[in-house]
Amino acid sequence: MKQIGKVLGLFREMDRGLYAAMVPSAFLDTLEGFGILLISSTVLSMLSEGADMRSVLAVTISMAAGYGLLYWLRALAASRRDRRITRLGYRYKRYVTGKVFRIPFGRMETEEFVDTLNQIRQNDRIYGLTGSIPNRVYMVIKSLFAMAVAFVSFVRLAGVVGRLGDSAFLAGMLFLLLVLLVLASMGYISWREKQNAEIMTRIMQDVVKYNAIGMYLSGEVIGRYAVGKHIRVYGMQDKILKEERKTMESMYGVMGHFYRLDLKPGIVGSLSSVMISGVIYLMVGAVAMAGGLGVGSIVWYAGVVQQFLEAVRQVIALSGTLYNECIRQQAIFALAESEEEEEGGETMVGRPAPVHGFCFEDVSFSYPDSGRMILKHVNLTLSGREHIALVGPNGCGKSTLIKLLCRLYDPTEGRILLDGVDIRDIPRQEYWGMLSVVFQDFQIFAVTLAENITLREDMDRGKAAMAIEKTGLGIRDLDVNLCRDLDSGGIEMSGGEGQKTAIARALYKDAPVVVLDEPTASLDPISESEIYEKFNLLVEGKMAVFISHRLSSCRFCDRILVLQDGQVVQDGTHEELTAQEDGLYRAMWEAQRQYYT
Amino acid sequence: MFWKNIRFVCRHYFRSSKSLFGYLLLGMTASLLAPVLSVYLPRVVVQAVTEGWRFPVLVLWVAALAGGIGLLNSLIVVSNAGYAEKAAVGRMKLGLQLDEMMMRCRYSLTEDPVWKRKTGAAADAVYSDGRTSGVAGIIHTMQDFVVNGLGVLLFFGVLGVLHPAVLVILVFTAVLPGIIANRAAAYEFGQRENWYPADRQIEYIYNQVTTGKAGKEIRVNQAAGFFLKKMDGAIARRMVWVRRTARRHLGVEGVSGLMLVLQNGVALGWIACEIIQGRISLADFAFYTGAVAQFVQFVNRFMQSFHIMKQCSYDVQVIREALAYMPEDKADWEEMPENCRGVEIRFEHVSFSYPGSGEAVLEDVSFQIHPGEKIALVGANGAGKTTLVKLLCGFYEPTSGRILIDGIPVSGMEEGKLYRLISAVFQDMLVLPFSVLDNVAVRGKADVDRVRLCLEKAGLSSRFPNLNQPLVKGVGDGAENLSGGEEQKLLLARALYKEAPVLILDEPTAALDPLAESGLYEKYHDLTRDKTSIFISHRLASTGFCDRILLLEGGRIKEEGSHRELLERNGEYARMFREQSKYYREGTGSLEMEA
Repeated sequence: MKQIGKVLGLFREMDRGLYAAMVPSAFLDTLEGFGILLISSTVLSMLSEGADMRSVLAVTISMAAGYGLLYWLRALAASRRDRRITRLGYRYKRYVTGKVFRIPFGRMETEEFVDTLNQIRQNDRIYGLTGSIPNRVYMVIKSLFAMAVAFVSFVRLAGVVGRLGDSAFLAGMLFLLLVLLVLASMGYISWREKQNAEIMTRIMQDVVKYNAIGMYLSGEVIGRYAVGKHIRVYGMQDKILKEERKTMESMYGVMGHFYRLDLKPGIVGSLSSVMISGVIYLMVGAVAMAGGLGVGSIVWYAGVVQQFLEAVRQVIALSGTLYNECIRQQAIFALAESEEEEEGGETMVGRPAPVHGFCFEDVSFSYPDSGRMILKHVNLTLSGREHIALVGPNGCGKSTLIKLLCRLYDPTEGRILLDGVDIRDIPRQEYWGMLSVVFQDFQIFAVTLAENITLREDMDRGKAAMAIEKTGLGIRDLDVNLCRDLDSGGIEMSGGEGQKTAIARALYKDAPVVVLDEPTASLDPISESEIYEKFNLLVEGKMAVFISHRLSSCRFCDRILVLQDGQVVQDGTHEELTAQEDGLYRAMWEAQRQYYT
Repeated sequence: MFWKNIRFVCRHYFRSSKSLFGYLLLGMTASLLAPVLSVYLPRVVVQAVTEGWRFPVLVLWVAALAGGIGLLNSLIVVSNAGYAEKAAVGRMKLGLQLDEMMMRCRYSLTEDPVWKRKTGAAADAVYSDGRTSGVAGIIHTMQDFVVNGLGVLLFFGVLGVLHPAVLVILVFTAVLPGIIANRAAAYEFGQRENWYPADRQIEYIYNQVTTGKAGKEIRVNQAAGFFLKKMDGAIARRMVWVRRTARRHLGVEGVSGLMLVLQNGVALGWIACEIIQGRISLADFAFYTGAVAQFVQFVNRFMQSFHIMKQCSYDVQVIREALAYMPEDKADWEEMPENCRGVEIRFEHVSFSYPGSGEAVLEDVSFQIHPGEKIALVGANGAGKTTLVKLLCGFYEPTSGRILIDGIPVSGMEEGKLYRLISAVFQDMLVLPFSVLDNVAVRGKADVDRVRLCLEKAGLSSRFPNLNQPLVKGVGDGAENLSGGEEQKLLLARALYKEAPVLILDEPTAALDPLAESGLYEKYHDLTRDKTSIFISHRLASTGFCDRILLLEGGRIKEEGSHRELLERNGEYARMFREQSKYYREGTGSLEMEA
């Protein structure tokens, strides 16, 4: 019950008026359901009492007209309700998106989080995000109304039976039988469904793990058309298909289980409901035979009791399936309960830009879920106007150090200070406002050029155009969409153009600290040289941290930090470091230089 | 077309599961008989009362009818469960076929927007889970179609006692709303272009965020608000169309309501008249009103299922069109002869522009690479280097001219033969969510020793002591992610493992540190021994290791020759080389910047 309440509460959060909108629709739906029954039982009664043609026709037509109106009103309310439910689906996506943004980046790479997200995506793929929960809730409300309306009639029937004397005995026995049947079948079904839910949860958890490979292959391998080159040249199709088939086979097993589980309650349900119908008819028939009811009332009461029991059945059955569905929603609660980005204690408002400096105090770091220490006891001071190059062999921790500086992760040990304040105490949004970053795996988004650069709705187009010019990017149309798939008028940029766009993004932001991770990797020598020439322009007056494998770029920096195996092994200017004959820097420098002279 | 699509689905499902049709037949028979029995139930009770039966007689009748209905309904449940499972299996198999097509069709297709659209639509049609769309929908609705069609006929007979005019009105009032509903649905579908972009944008943002790739970028640039606002905008736009469609539907419902009034008024009125005039009994009232309701329902559902089948047929059409892209024969690779000493590659007056584009990416390119020769391909971004490689790999056909490998034109070559000859390390990287072993030996049975050797040559042996280590974090237990440089080395190992006579390296050192890079150059001759090799790089240091350099500019070969020759010529290559080496020269001190 608590689970269901949680999910219902969540939906209410997404749309305040959701349940209120369902009520009128449920009420009208219920009335409509009794409408035809009322008409036919009234007419039948009139006929059995020997009414004349005119009055019968008059009643028929007027009731039919009333029914038609009711039908249309019901449709109106249903339309409103459907729209809300559709909107809920979109709002749910929006909710998930909003939540993911607020998850600390470090958590996003943990196996736990990846699992959660995969579960949500899997739910989406198979059932749709909200599943059929809103519709089922609606049906419960409708059934409750039906129960209420039917109950009133039911009480009247009981009254009639009461006045019958000893025929009441038969009717009473039948009624008891009825109650027993209902309780027994309901009991069994809800017990069975609870069992099924538990089995399903367990199965789904296993499936998610299997399915992760399948989903990855679908999305990142087969679905990423560009890597089709690799797949063909290396003939990877067979291996990939084999893996997919394995995933599929595990899914077969699950599906089969899933549908078979529903069989028992399904059969019991249909057998019991027809038995119940039969007993209802017998009961009403018995009362009518004893003279307690007219012929028309047979039809009415049979119908009403039917509806009443059907409504009871629905409520109980729906609780079961609702429960199952709400279990499936667990993933989103795991998401919601993930640590949200905390707001820091001390604000930096009023602190002048540019910053004065960073300090790494005995910082060590390993990625979540990994034992390997990437950074080991790093102690560094970076001052506010320095241009610093970060170099070192693959895997030495350069990119990791940058990510810590960007506050995408928190140090496992030690701390990082900005102007004497632990950066964990600074509100993240504010902290990030001080950084302009070009990542190694920068992303170009499927929005316009100007939007890619500014990433804001209200933008300074002049400033954006200037940033474009500074990078030497040849595309002038600010409003061209950078993804031809989403917008047929859009363009696909080359790697080099993409990189220049990413640099323009950093330029536009104009933050006091600039971080560049391999910013010229995709550029040809001429473009690369252009960027270097302008390097000072780009980072003038700011603090810059610059990773590059091309040591030529180090010459533009005031200071070079050499990392190896997670530690800073050398620190100095280019001249100082090349003078250190046994140093790693000199080895790397010579290794690269030898081909150019 | 419609029937072809139905046949296609039937054949596919029958192949994947023979019992499916058994379930369907079972379900259909039960669904037809159950309503017939249930119409008799109330009649029997009324009859018992009006004709004064004894109670036990009624009990027998009710028991018999209820028993029959119960049995039939249970059969429906069983059939539905059986059907659903088989249908899901069939759907997944189709999905697999689609995936296979995406991997085996001509590469050039995957860059074609038409192909992309068709494939996307086909995937939607396959994976859509509803009973009213896609592949699953057709089977299910076919059942409905037959059942309801037969039901109409059956009840038409049952209602024969009614005046033909009444029957006509019944049919009319049942059919008209259906027709209008179909028109409305067609309109909505036609309007798709209006709201589909909004849906795609919502999906795009949702996917970007939940696959975690853009996470860093969005956070550090504080762009969360931007994307959320875009999403809100797209949702708002989408809802506008939902409202519009809903309004149309209300119009349809209005007509339905009117028809219902007519239906009930006329049918009930007529039956009442017949009873008053003594032509039918009171008990029959319950029977005929039930039968009328059932008849109308059959007509409605019949029309609906026909319409849905047409919809689904369209979906199936989309799938068939996409699957048609599957090539006739799968590339079967032949074995390489033992002492293959590289092959000769010749480009003869090759020109190329991408389909649909007028711009020539390559113009009249001619050159020859001798067996075992190492060529460097250099040039500015967009000069056509990667395109040249794509043509060599047979991904595209030259617009004019031809490409020959050992004298055989690439265009005519079977894919299996062509791909056997080529190993390539492309710029975009692909790490499969399998073990290290399976990532290097991606085809066929793995030769463990050779895998180890190739990892060592690529400089990765110490990183992966355990070849069964799964890669790609989050997928598989204990899987690890590789750094950019490690990925590049892995791809090199994969290329080496294949031992093909042509080795293409497109920017293979972009992510490598100076020592690793230099290591690669030093080993280059060793790695490319006996192979014809093409090396694309921006780092002109690498060109020294190649026998010859081709400089591409504006789609043409501007300069050609050895490193020394080109420096002496003092042309474009020399300029680029000087530009890059400028920063490596001693004596320049710490560079002064001109602001």
